[in-house]
Amino acid sequence: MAAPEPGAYPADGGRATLFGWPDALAVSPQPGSLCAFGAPSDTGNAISRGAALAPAAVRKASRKHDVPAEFASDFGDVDFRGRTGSAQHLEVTAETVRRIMELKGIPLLIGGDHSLTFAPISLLQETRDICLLWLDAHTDFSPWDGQEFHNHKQVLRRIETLPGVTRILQFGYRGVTVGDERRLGPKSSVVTSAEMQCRSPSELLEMVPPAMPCYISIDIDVIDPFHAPGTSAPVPGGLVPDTVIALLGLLARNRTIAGVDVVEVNPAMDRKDDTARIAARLIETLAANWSFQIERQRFPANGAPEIQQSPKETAP
Amino acid sequence: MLDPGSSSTPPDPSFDADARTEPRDDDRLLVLSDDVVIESEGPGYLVLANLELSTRVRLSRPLYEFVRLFREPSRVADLVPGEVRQRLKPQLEMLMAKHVLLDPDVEGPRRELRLRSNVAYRFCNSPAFDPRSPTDFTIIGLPCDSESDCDSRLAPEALRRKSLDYPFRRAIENNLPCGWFDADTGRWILKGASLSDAGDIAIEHGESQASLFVRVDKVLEECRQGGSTPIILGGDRGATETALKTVTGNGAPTIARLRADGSLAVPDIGKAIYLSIDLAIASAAYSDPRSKAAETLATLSDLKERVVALGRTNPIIAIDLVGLDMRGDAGRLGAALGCELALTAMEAACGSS
Ligand SMILES: [Mn+2]
Repeated sequence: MAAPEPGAYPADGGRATLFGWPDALAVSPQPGSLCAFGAPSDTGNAISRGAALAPAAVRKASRKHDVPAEFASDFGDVDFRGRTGSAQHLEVTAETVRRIMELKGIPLLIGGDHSLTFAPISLLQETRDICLLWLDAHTDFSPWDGQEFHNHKQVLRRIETLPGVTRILQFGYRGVTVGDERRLGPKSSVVTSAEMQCRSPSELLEMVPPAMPCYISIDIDVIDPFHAPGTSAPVPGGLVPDTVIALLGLLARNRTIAGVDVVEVNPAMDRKDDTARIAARLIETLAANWSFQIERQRFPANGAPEIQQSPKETAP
Repeated sequence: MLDPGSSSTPPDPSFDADARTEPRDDDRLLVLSDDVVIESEGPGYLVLANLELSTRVRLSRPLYEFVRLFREPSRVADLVPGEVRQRLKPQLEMLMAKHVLLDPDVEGPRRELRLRSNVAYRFCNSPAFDPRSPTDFTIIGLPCDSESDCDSRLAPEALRRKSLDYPFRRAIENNLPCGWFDADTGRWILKGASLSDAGDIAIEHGESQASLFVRVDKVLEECRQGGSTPIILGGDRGATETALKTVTGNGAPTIARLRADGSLAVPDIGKAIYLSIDLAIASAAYSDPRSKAAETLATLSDLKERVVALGRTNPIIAIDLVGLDMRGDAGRLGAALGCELALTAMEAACGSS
């Protein structure tokens, strides 16, 4: 497959893809590709609207980057027109994930609010056990009693009930909360933001089981709000972007990634486009190391050797 | 002519008897006050309120019709016959006492400034302040910002609204305050500590600091009864100077400041301190994520530890949060930071008492 020239897409108007990646409507992605799609929905955010603007803002911010496009594709945005309520939004998001999975792609959801994460995980865990890495200032573990009611505050509690999600790592919990949320159940471990700051990225990587595919859910509020202010529920005392970038680089090189999302970027609350740009840098880090994922898929039995350093690590 | 007295309460006979001996004042000019509005009405009655003086009075409809006649300055003698005038006398006295009808030749009373004003949200949804049952901490808004170019008049409101993320709760089994969990330090804070919210100190924009100080003094005095520690939600940095005078009385004020650059000067060990938290740290960090302020906030757990450590060496007798500039998006982050630091500082004060 010949990758189009970066920047071949119209700079304004029309479909400008993420990093100028091939448009999935025009070119079918190769198996194992990182398949981006936007989910411009923010009805699952109980605090404020605005996250629906994120896919466009992140794509715009991504244009300044030059990222390998051989194993990457952009499926455009989920069409939520005429769909109302969280249940319908999850359903139509799942349709795109299903299409990507049929093509043996790896879904990369650009939210949207965090409630949408349920759609890709619920599908991915049907065929194999996965470890979920939840990067977030919040545990998103508010009570959920099995009703249709679904939002960004209780999405992880709902996901925790899925049988194929056998391990959950919550990274980034912080701030003053009503209760102690460090114990979320037998599947889960919580590493607070303060604890993360005391560990190296390699030590954090070691917590992620090496043998199991890993789904990475990134709520942008895991990053300190003074770096990434464009989000609806900012909590001071977060991670600097470089910490998350270093961890993502290690994950891309040393673990099998089943899916990714970047959610809760709210351009309506952003300082210029700082937060969207950080989101683009996080995705860039994964994409720049995606050849390691292709390698792992080709030789799954070998399990690629642990690679802590890589020339492809993106500059901070 | 009207006979409005017939449908309302019967006049007091003793009053009538006295009245007959007094000199006639029916020739006095009376006028309906500009400040009076109809506040509510029901079957057969209306409630009039003087908005300026906060008085209200319930009138029968006939009496209301009579009062309306004084839209233009009028004499009672010109409006009603003699025997009705006598029966109306108590009502007229009452209407004048309530400042519904005014004598245009007599200067009216000056409005007393209210000490405190109601607020839309209470900090952490805590109970409203009740002087009869003091709490460990009392929240007081001081939305003054005339001493600087800091736009802080809406800061107490922003802090209170954000604080609803951290609702104050009491445990069902023992009725004791539950406190909160601080994930940054891995500790429970404020377990058993009670708090209440006294609303905002009333501000007259444009008044002098001296005039405001009188009210700040009265309110803080009221809130500190029973040993409650005041938590003052400013306001610009001028709020600190005003509140400090009251809190320290004549004693030398010892103030510990968490400054806008993130530094926290540690005072002499053992001295009682007024802890002032400058939320301009949020604006500083927002405008430059590589600044010292941003660095301090990125390791908020360390900063919290230092605030709590301060409480171990020095009694904290009052806390304020000042300098939260609500212009631009830094205000939103500053409010979130302010709530975290307020609760941490309160925990520090618990450790110190
Ligand atoms: Mn979240």
